[in-house]
Amino acid sequence: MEELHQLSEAIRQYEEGDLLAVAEIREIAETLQASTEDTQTAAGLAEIITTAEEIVLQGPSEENSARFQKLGRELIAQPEESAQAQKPQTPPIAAQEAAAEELAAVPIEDAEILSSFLVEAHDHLDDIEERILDLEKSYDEQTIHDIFRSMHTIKGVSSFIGLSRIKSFSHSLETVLNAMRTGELETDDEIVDILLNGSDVLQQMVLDIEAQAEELDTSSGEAVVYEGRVTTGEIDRRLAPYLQQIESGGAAPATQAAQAAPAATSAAGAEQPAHPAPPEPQPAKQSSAAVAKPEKSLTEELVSPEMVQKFVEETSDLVDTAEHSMLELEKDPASPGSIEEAFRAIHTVKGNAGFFGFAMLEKMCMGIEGILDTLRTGARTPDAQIINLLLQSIDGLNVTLKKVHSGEIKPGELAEGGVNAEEAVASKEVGDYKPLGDMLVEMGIATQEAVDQALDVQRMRLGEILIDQGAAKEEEIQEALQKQGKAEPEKKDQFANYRIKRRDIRVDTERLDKLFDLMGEMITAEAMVINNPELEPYDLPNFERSANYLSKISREMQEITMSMRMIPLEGLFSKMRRLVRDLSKKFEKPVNLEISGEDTEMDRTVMEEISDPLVHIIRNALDHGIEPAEKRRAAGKPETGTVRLSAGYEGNEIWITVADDGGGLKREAILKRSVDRGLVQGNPEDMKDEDVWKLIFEPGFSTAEKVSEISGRGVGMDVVKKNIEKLRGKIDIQSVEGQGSTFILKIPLTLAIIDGITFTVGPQLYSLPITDVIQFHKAAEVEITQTNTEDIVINLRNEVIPVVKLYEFFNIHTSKQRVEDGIVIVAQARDRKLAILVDEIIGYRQIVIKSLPAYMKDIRALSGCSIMSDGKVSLIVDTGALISYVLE
Amino acid sequence: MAHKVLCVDDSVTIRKLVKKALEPEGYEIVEAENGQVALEKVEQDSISLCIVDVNMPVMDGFQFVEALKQKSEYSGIPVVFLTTESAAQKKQVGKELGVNGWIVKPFEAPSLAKIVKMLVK
Repeated sequence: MEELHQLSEAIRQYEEGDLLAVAEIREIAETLQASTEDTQTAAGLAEIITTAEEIVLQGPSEENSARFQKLGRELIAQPEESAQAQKPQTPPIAAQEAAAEELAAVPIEDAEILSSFLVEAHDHLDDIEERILDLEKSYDEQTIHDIFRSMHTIKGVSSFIGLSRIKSFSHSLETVLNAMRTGELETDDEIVDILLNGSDVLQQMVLDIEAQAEELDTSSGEAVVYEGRVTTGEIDRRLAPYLQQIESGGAAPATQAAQAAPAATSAAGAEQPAHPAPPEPQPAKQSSAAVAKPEKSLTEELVSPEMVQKFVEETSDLVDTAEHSMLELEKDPASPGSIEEAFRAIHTVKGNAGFFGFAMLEKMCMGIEGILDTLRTGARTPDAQIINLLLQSIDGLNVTLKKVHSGEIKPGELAEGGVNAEEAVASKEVGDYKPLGDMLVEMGIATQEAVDQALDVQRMRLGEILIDQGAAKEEEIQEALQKQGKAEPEKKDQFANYRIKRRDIRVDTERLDKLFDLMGEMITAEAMVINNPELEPYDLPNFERSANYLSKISREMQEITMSMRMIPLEGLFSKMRRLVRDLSKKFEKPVNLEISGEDTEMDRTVMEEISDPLVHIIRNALDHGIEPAEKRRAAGKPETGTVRLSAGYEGNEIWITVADDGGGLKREAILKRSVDRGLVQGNPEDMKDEDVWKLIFEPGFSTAEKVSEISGRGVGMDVVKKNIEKLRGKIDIQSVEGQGSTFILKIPLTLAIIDGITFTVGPQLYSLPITDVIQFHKAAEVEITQTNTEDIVINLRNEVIPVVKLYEFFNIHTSKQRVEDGIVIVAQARDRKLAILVDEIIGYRQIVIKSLPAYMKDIRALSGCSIMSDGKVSLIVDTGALISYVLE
Repeated sequence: MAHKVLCVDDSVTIRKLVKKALEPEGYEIVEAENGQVALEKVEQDSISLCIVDVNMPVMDGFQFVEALKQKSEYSGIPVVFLTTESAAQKKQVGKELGVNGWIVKPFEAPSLAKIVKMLVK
């Protein structure tokens, strides 16, 4: 009788015209009819079957529906009771939410259908995005309708495949779109923004499935992809009030949004980034070995891990360039150069990604390119939304690149006919692309054996081989190729592109170091030859010409060698531009970043180390330094804060300065906190300001949760100190309360060739970087004044400059002890001048800086040494340190 | 001769799914990506059944059925909506157009085959 109740209930729930239900009911009735012994029941069942068929054939009508319902009720005695029991069960909301946190495995029965869906979903999402951007300009009903339809399709198809997260997310978006379409919901900026971000998230979800599908091994029969690696939480929360409104048809979303806000902040994982992509589980990984087919060898031959690495490097640079241009574009929307530049960069990335078979990257680039193209053609203006979207895409690219870098995403196939199913899954252009071999077999042009044989000797293109073997005619191959959707010449072009683009090679940094060393030695050797004392007595015009030529060449060589490992800070600084922009929005403080000295070059590895410290210092400047606009206004400052980021060479160091015009560091607050946290010993009142400032770099000073919000790495300002110390650098902080603070990162150039002035003090040679030298002066007695503290100053053109006698400082015996006996070199570091008394100027030299031997490390104010052309050693004076020692 | 079932859907995935569900059962699937194309197909092939999506560009499912029912030589072809639309109002429109019913997505291949079997004899 249980079955009869079920059947009755099924009929009761039947919605007019729902054929699935009708078919189901008919089948249950047939089964029951065969087993029932009760004649009355059997007759009822027979009538149900007839009615079901009638409904299907005639279509639903009031009459047949009513009859159907009546038959259902008659089937059992107490249908109402069972109806109570059969109430549709929805899982409790808590359970639903818990489930949302976890990954959901989705079995994939048919990889082809999945691939078809992914391709389609991308198309729709592209459409959607474009239309939402249109929507920003004007709320057009037709546009909303189009977006709705695309969203609807995504929802429908994903539900077929069982991608329930994508389905339910797109359903939410669709519901909102539908309400907008019908006018139930007013279209405003907020909802458009949610839709745009929502479609971004949806895109992420699709890309995530796509990445998994790429490595899917359907042959094992246990193919699954995981949903839930992309969180939708934020959009869900933003959508919630709207969905509520639609459901209830009531209250305005604004008030509900306000109610929803506290709930949102308290929700766990609220701060999760949009694409967390946890490293596990990785079901696809184990299948990658199985996926490796014989054809892959050619790919592996062509795409070595080094090339992938190189690809990642090049692409990162290009992406940086694009990002930079986009930020430029934001500042100056009327600059077509920026669009062009971004377009070119992304285009190159796309090309390269395509070549390596990183279909996902290629796809993403295509999207960005599409947007840039509309900007380029002037079809759309680069407003804030578009820039936001572009920048988000750039972030997406970077995340994907990281995965490529870590090997999580592998390059695809590229052998002829070797574009396998995995790639086809991910490649939009290709559609239902099949390897040529399979295609030929399917079309009955070649036998499997012929194809296999051809693949064995696959050095030539498959098509050509088959023609050679007489297994296929040329026209047939052409036909197949056309069907395959990839014309032959296109492939050739891809290779040609590749060869033109990749003119660079990867060199081990150790070998570069060796080259640096040798270069230094060579300059020394060159000087030894050209300035050889044995040549001095002779007049050798021809030799001198040759020597000049040699110098010129070695100078160029040196520049090139230097440039190999040195890269301009520009890349790093543009990242900071983005950081300041994002932080400025986050903290709601208008901040202008001024950058100078971005062409200063720095060793690449050193740059990597200073990236984090810089982020933290800038973040600190925006978070704590720059005051909120009202406060600034009250203090009579411009509302927009300014952060100056600059870089430059200072002697043997590179200084990177971050200066803000904020409130400055607060001595009392820092001291209080440090005492509270046990970071200070002794009497805090005695501490010098600069020592107090440095406390903010102490581990444990900054609260972890505050910092990790931005850095995402849970490190505080102590990373600044740690990283800088690792580079043997220093941090100086200057701060004036109410006026702002300045952080100076002083990073030593470990190995460099600089232009220097060499001079003698007694028997010893010294050099000073030429950039520190202002002038030489033979002092007259009248210019020299001895102050009452025994200090000597020199008056140069009405400027009083302190004098240091270098022989005294370094404790060297010399006959030229009076200032007027020797020469003073006026040097400058950090706006402070010092006149340095030396014996004699030797001249201007290129000097190769070498680090001091360990036993000389403790000598103050020396930064290194250099070997002169005659083999003598010259000590390099650290101007800044010397000035500090003398003046402080 | 195999019965021809016209599948009208803008989603190639859905069309493939329908194809996969019905071809093993001996039906021949004719595909159309919107109502307009579907009308051409109806005229070209002798169609036994139309499985139609509601939301489509160019010409949607309702418009297609309306046009189809107006042509006396084709008005007898059974039409089934394959859709995610479950709003009662929409169904009313379908009913008035005289369709045989709708299959609400998602469906499973055997159920689809069962329905088609009942409609095409």
